[in-house]
Amino acid sequence: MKYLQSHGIILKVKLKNTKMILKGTPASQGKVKGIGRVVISLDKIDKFKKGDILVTRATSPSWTPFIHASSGVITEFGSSLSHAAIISREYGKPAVVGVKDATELIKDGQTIEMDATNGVITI
Amino acid sequence: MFREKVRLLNPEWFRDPSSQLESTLRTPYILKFGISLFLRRLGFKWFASGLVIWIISNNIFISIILGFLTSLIFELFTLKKYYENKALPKHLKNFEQIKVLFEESKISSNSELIKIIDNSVRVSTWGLVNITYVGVSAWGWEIFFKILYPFVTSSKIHYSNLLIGFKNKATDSDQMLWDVAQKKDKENQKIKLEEYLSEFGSKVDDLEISKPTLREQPNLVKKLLELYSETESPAKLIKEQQNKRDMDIQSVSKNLKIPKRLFYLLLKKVQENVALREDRRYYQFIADYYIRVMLIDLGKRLSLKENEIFTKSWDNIKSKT
Repeated sequence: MKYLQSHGIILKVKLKNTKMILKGTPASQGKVKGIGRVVISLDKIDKFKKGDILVTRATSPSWTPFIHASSGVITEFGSSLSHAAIISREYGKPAVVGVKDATELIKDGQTIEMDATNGVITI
Repeated sequence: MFREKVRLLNPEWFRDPSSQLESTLRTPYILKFGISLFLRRLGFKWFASGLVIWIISNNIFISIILGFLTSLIFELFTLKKYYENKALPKHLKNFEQIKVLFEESKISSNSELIKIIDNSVRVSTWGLVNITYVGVSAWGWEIFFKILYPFVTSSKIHYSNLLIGFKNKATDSDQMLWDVAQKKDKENQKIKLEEYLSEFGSKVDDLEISKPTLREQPNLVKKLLELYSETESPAKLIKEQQNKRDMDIQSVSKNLKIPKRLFYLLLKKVQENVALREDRRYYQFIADYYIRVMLIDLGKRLSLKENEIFTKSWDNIKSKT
């Protein structure tokens, strides 16, 4: 939904087929489509379900079971040698890291497509 | 400021502002041991090799750069041994000492507890710094391999496919948790969960003493068990990745630009060092749970509110006892 202003009148316009593309560093190859679950910290991970795409700032060893249970991983920080990248490769999950502002641009529960081989995320 | 600068080097740490206690208790030890380690492991070698190159080349710029690279290459070949023979055994010995001190702390006076905490933080930080440094070797070999890879093979297979499917402390931890989650008998599950938390409960989310360890978050542990009751075994995934790796190695070895023997020698060296990465992360914070429990106990004794101790400076806390 977009808000446009025309001659002083605010119009609410639903734009169809508009997609946002985010780019990051390919960390673990593969393609997946699923529900993006934005999790800033582990105490707010209640809604995460098996098969969700984990969207977070960065991961540490406490997060590895969530990477294992996810269908893909997106992080704001890190490189192809970061924790999220390494563990995603170990578990064969597609991962894109270093996606600037991912936790703000991706809305919790949104369906997203990941082309982790090329580091592209389509919302 | 220190944390902001280090964050540039490692963006996975220091995601939130540092607590007063972290800044005044552990950070000074990180700096002290960090500088000491740099001088001991890298600084003197850098200076010596730089000096030799300067004498030969008479070019200060070249001698600084080449001196640094020479000492780094030396570290790549020696750090794994340093980790296995010195840093890790000493860290584990210190950890056993912390566990003994932890038991003693329960019946100690406030001033004794302060000393026990200080000592525990000091010795555990030595391990944290030294084990973190081994990353130079773990990451260094992978970066080296990544750069060399196009000169080693004409295969289109990604270099990282040759480095996957190795068991490490992170996957061991996940497998143990998965085994706990499969237990149908609740009493048995409780016992196994306690064993799991004793071994892996000190996991932390950041280098920040004010943040709870896994063991202190029962809701998170419950969530993990729920999640793992419906996933496939981590060991099965690792096995699949291992098979994939073996097939990819076979495929890459058919398209080599260097002698096969040299390729396998290089690959073995890289794989051995890369395997240290996740093990390190387990050992780095192994004592955090015990230190946090002692700090929370100290806070209670000083009639501070829950977690208030983490908002105080270490000097401030010491002055209250």
